[in-house]
Amino acid sequence: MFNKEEKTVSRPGTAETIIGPSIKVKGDFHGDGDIIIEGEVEGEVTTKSHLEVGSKASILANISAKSAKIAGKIKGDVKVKGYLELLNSANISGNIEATEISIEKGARIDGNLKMSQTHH
Amino acid sequence: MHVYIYDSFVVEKKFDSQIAKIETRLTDLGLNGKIIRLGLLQSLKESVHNEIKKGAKTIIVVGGNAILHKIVNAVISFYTENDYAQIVPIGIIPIENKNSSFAQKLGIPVGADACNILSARRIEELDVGKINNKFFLGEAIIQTEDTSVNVDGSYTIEINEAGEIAVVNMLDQFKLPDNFPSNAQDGHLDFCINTSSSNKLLSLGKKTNTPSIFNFQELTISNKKGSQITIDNVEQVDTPATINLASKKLRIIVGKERGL
Repeated sequence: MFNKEEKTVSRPGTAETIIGPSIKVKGDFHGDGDIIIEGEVEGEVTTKSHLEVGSKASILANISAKSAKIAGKIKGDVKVKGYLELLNSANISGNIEATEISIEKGARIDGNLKMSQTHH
Repeated sequence: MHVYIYDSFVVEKKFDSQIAKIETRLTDLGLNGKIIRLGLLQSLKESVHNEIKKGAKTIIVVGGNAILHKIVNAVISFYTENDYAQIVPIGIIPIENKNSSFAQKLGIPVGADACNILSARRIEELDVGKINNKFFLGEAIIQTEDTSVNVDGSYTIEINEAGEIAVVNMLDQFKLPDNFPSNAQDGHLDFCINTSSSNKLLSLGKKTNTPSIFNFQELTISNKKGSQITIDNVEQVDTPATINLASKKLRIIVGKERGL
């Protein structure tokens, strides 16, 4: 279950892009605003803001975001400039890079984890 | 000169008293002008273009959404891409018992009271959606079945469930989340998909009626069975269709109570 932290896109209306559960996106997906993914994505996902991947979501691609909360399945590298939160249903097959990270019990990672320097 | 374009249905006897009241109020307010009553064989586009060439000050629609949609197309199509002439404003006098949800959004009451709005002449610029060579003020809608969408030439969207795809400029029939900021003055169109599982979004245990939402500059909608896209709930457009924001903005007379 997502907690009520500030970074959570708790109101879907504040997200610039929402990919719902029955939607499949093929191709490179670049955005400036918050993105919520609950469906399938095959291709690169990049945003300058927050990315949220729901528990039913499946991403076959590298992803890059300012911050991210992941509860779904990702086959690809995850690069986050700031805070990355992996929830218990997260399943990542790929390398992870983040400045801050929290990993909930039950989350699965098959890859290397690199902590980058904090930018002040 | 003001040019009044009456939809063909207003010649019906049941509208006589309403039209008489409107015409009296217009005379009282000094807003008389030329009246064009649309006949079956008359080309609305040609009539509007002729009146703009002759220097019409305002094109005023007397009717509902259907005639407004046609006038929007006629007015916008008059101006070429690189034409910097100021677009002639459109006014609306909605007729009772006809679908006039656009006028309602624009804060214009039905019947003779709309004449006061025309008299105040408060003009707002509105975005207009472009689909192939046609224009829409409200929404472009198609069913999700056998439909795919290419966005900005960079990714494709497939929908695996029954529902509706909409490109929204001014919200009319389509259901968007309550807190979703969509209006016809924000300089972009909203692209949304509503499916039956939209209600279960985020798996947070809390049910919301949130559709999928995408940002775009240009999208192309295709349908394997050749289904058409309905624009402004008035006209059908063949697929594949390319949709983007029209380069020209519409100038329209609005009321104080507008909810854009």
